[in-house]
This record gives sequence, C-alpha cells and structure tokens, in this order.
Amino acid sequence: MTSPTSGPSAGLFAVHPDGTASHGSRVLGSVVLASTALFLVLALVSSPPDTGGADAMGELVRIMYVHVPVANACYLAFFVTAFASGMYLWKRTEGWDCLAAASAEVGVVFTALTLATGSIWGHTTWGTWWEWDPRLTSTALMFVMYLGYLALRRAIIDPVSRAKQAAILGLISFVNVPIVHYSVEWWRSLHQQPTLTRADPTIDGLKLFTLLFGIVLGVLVYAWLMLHRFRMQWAEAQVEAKGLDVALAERRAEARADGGLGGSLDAGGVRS
Amino acid sequence: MIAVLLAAGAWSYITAAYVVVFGTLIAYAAWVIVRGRRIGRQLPPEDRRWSQ
Repeated sequence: MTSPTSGPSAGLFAVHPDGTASHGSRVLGSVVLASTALFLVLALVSSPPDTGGADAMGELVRIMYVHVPVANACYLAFFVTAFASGMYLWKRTEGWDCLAAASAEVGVVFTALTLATGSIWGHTTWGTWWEWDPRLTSTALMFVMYLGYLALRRAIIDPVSRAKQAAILGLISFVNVPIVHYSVEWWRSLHQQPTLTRADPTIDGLKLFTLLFGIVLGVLVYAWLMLHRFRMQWAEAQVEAKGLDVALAERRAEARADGGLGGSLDAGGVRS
Repeated sequence: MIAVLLAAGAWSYITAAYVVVFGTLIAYAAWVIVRGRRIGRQLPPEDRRWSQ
C-alpha cells in the first residue's frame, strides 16, 4: 500500500498531497537551505570587514551582502512579470497571466526588503532613515507601482479583462526598472555607484565572492518562491473558473425552474 | 574603546538587516505554502499537475 507521501518522494523530500510542492521543489528547497547556511557563515563570519580607502564601510559591508541580492531579485521578478505580460497579450493563455501575477507579488516582497535594508544601511552611513534621493525615490515609486498592479488584479472580477489590463500595467510598470538601476549614474545621488557592473569592481577577494554567492542565492530563493507561488496562482485560477461554472449552472437551473413554474424572464425581468 | 562601541553599533544594524530579510522571507514562504495547501484541497488531484 502506498500513501501520497511514500514511494519515490518519501523521507526528506516527502510532499504534502494537497500542497504546491513537488519532488523538484523539495530538492531546490534543500539546495536553498544549504546555500543559506553557507551564505550566513560567509557573510557574517568569514568575510573580512571593509578597510580599503577613505570611504571604507567596515563591518557595515555585511549589509550589502543582503541588500544587493534582494534588489537584484526584485529586478528579475519584474522582468519576468513584464515578459509574461507581453506573452499573455500575444498568446492569451492563462499560464502567462498566472506567471506575471505570481512574479509581481514575489517582486514586491523583494522590493520591500530592498527598501528596508537600504534604509537600515542609510541610517548608519548617512544618518537618516530616508532621503528623497533619485535611487531611493525611484525604488519607492517602483514599489508603489507594483502594489498598484496587485491592487488592480484584486479590483477586477472578470478574469479575461483582469488579465488583459494587468498585462498592460505590467508592461508599463517595467519602464521604471531601468530608471531605478541607472538613477545613480544619470543623476547626482547619495547612493553609491554600482559595485559590480563597473569596469573596476570596488571589492575583491572573499568579499566579492560572498556578494556574488548572495546574488546567486537570491535568484535561487526567487525560483523556489516562484515554483510555489505560481502553482498557488494556477490553483486559484482553477478554483475561480470552477466557481464561475457552478454559479452559471445554478443561474441556468433557476431560470429553467422559473420557466417551468410561470413562463420565462425577458430582458427587463418581466415574466411572460 | 571607541572602535569597539562603533563596531557594536554596526552589528546591531547588521543584525536588524539580516533578521528583516530572513524573517520576512520565511514568513512569506510559510504563507505561500499554507495558502497553497488550503487552495489545493479545493482542487481534484488531476488539476494539480505538479503532483503527478
């Protein structure tokens, strides 16, 4: 006799029968957990404090190891939302809409973390939790735009109309993402210049490795969250579609019952 | 002494940043999993393609 949690997926990788997990997501989750443990050792113990130059950050460089990866993950999430939105407008299939919605929500979580860690870093380096600096302001605008995207999805009941309007907003909102990234180069900013994408990276050795490892971990965490969030979105869409089918069937049954008892209803609701 | 105090202050910010990031991600992951199970119960197994 086999149960849903026995057989090939038993033990460490046992999958809940009702949940959004699969054998693949369990393997990825295990890789994420192991990588997180290694990352914490690298970021908090092994990596040395920043001591190079007049504007060295000392121990505070460790905040960069989480701040940059979550910022990178939110760029990735919003790129996926824009790509899936474009694909939805082209193909008109439910899967692309689910992918866009799931990635936007995960991206909003990562953007909130970017703002929070940036604020903590700013308070200790600039002496203020918030500054209306181009990078901070454009990031806050990006956060609000994608909150608006999620609000729009909740405001429209018709699934087809919701998917179409959300896809258009998903594409429009992505225009702000490159502005956020290049804001430190285009305008005078308190925020430091890019650390990695310049020709001469400002960090090296174990600090550079820890930052790159953190960025890879951020992508893995995003992928794991997306596996579950996309499946949840898909399941919600199926439940919603079944609910609409049931409601339509009930309305038809009511109409038939009314017709049998005393005639049918015309367009104005007047019984004939 | 001043260097130790400055380092101690820095570590409180570092701790706050890591707690916020990992705490939020763990809470969000738990919410996604729990809600996914709740919605999954409303679907027949053939509609949960990932579990096949």
